Amino acid sequence: MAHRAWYAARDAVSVSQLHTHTLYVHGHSPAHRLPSHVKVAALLVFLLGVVSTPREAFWAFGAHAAVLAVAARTAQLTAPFMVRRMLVEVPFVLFAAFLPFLGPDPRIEVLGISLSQEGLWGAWSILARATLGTGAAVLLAATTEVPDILTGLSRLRVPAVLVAIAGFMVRYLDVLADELGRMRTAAAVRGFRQRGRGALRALASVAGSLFIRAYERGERIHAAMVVRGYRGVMPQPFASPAVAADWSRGLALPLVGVTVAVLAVLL
Amino acid sequence: MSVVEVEGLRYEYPGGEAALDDVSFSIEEGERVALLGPNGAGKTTLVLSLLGVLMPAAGTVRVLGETMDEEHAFDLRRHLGLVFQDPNDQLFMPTVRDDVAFGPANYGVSGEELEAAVDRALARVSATHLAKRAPHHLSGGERRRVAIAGVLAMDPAALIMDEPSSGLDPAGMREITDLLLDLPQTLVLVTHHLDLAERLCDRALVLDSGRLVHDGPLVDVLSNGAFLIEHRLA
Repeated sequence: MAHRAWYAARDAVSVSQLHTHTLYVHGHSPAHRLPSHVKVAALLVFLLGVVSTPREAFWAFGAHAAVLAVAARTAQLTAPFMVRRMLVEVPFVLFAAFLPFLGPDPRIEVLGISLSQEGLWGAWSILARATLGTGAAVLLAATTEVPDILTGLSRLRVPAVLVAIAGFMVRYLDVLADELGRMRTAAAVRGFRQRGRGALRALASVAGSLFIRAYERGERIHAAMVVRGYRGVMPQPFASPAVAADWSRGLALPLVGVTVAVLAVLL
Repeated sequence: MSVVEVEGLRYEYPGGEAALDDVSFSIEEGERVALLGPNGAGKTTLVLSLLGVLMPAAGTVRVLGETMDEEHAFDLRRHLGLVFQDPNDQLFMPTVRDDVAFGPANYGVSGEELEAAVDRALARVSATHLAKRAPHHLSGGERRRVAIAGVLAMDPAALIMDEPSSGLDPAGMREITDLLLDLPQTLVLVTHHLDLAERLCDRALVLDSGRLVHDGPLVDVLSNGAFLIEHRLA
């Protein structure tokens, strides 16, 4: 009953307002409903499978891609969407494109260009693993809101301090960005232009005062925590445990990936 | 019984200079008291001393008859709900619901009891529909209300509001004023805004340079032009 009222209230406000980060895609798919720590564990298991697959086993990478495609399908995410989000990996894998040219001998001729055999293998290996890894991460981010990912991490026994630091970072990134924005405006209205050596000095002092402001805010936040009874341990107010069925549903696909990796090593 | 009783309170900055000097007063249950004073008068220091975040160099603070010291600070501060001037400092959990639950959860409330406390507090400030939202997506007025819910969930005997009007537009300010008028708790209002104090309080404590220069009816302060100017209140 309470749940129904809650959903009604939730649908009354616009969906974009509700969601805590831009990577999340609103939905009610089985992948969305899975407890977050199961999803985080699934991501980890899948990645372990991908990185331990020998690079010569092309078929195994095909199988990993198929696993990812099934998972994306379950999450009701489309191929164009996935590809668009995965473009984020481009800057990181760019250097892989140089490996065939710079790698050691022996070399082979492809269309009249001499390429390093080892470099080609290296490039393929980086590209394939990074693409699969990015795809899986995009899937997690699209089906899980940031607060849930944080809860998931702490349920997986990631040290509370680390989870708290990650949480504070997410929470205060916008606040700090706003502060930086105001400082830049204040500099601009007094004729500041981002050029020359003077600009560098001004930017350094902006960075310095941003640090001091962040530090002072940290002190105020700590005081606000202490007055509400904080004694060094972050409470986990509403943790609901995952049932066995959640685990088997969530880990089914990643375990296929691990099986593929094991087979690829043995064959 | 006095909710708060302060006797001969002195607080010193690390250099030895007094931020508060020989401050004494008591606040009874149900009272609505404005804490006035210019910038740097010691208002925030006083408030943090009441909650045992700062420990005095001399004098005592008693909350509901118990003396505030290192040993009892944790148990006593739950009776005083402090709402900070900048809600961003106070709303640090990922969602509104988690944030409101932070206080009671620290005091061992859990399960259905915790859910009930959170629901009650959010309903009290008309913010039930904000439960799942992230604090940084709320408007100024919404943030302020949620911050109030965060301390109401601890069921405090008194609310201490530090400049509740800051960052609010007139409509947001009216909402908060109406809400505060409606709450049954003892109220300590820290503010520069005399009109807000006039709407919410009938008694005033005036601090200037760390000393208590007035403790009595707020009207006496408001009607004394020379006093207002002398203590930089107007």
